[in-house]
Amino acid sequence: MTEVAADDGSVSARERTGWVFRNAKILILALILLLIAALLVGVSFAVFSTSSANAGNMFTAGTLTSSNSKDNAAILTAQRMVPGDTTTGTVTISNTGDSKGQFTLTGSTPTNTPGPNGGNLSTVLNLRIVEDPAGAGRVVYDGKLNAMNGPQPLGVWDGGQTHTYEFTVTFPEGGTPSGPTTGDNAYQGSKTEVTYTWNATSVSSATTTTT
Amino acid sequence: MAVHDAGPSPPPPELEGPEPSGPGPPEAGEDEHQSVSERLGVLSNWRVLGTLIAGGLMLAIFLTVAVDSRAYFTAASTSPNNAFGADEVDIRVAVPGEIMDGAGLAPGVSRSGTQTVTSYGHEARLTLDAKGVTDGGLYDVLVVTVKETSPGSVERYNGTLRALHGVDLGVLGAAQAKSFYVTVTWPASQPNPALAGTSISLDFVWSAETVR
Repeated sequence: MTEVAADDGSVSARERTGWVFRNAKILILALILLLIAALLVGVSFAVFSTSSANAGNMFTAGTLTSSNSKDNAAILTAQRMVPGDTTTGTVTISNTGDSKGQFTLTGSTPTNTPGPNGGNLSTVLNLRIVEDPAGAGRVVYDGKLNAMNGPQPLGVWDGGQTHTYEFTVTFPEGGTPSGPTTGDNAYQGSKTEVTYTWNATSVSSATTTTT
Repeated sequence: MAVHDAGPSPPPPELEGPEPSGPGPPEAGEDEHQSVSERLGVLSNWRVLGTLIAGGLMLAIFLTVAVDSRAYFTAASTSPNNAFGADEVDIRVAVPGEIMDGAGLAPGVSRSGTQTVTSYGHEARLTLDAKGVTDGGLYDVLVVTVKETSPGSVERYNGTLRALHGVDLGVLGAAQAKSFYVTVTWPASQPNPALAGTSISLDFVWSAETVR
């Protein structure tokens, strides 16, 4: 059937549709470019406009810093321990910034120096860490010195918040050794050393909204 | 087929059926092929598809970086050199072998010797035992006395050889030495001809255990 043009010289519907399909590639690419441009730049087609200003909205970045009452120093040490001995040390950690922070405590893998009988001291020493012993007294860790695996969560602290931690290391009594190199005798003359790291990571605060 | 004039919303051509492309009616398969191709339109072109995919990736990267990016503040401090060491118990005797000659014992005869024990380790409680006894009959007869002669002067034990176990000799401080005078006596009050020619051997064992 033959396509008939309108008498008034205008383009027929079929011609318009055909033009659209013939130029579909160009049209779709143009739409994609427009979409990207709108996302990156933003487009406003407003005809009428008005504006008002709320000046003086100032935003400053918060700070997250911490203090350690025994920074870069040992919390506790004990030499010449014998079965039954206990040693205690305390440290105070503070969030000295103004941002909330998630605090954790991580113990390194102990470095053991066995004595003449070959025992690794970190495998027998008990470590107990208590948060705020004079207050709530929450137990953060209670186990062997060498068994603190991974960061121990200490909770989210507000800026200015402070906690004291009491470390207690005990050399448990294993009874009378059955031989000169067995039982507790295995640990004679052995040494161990461990480093504790206090980490803090900022925590997102709720969005501040004013109306 | 009807041809529509310009109207408000003309339906798409394919909805009205196939448009003849030649003098005769098209094959059914050809119509279907053309229809699918038309429906795919620009999407059948790999360049267009590539452009769309690239645009999608750019959009995803933009959204990830500009919208969902999160930064953190961190702080850290360390408490190093938490060191722990176990002590040792180390005692040494001045006389490593026998401390007395026990030959020729008879009722009413005593033998004696001295021993000095020195600590080279942690403070420890010192004890004395008779071990490794090979008894020929004198185990319940012989009497032992142990006297500390230095630094104190005190009798630590006075009893039968059989009962000489875990005798407390006091605390030996670090780097401290104690001297003892040990006497073995066949009491005159226990003459027994049946024991003539018998013997007994034993080890005096000096032990130390940590004290806190």
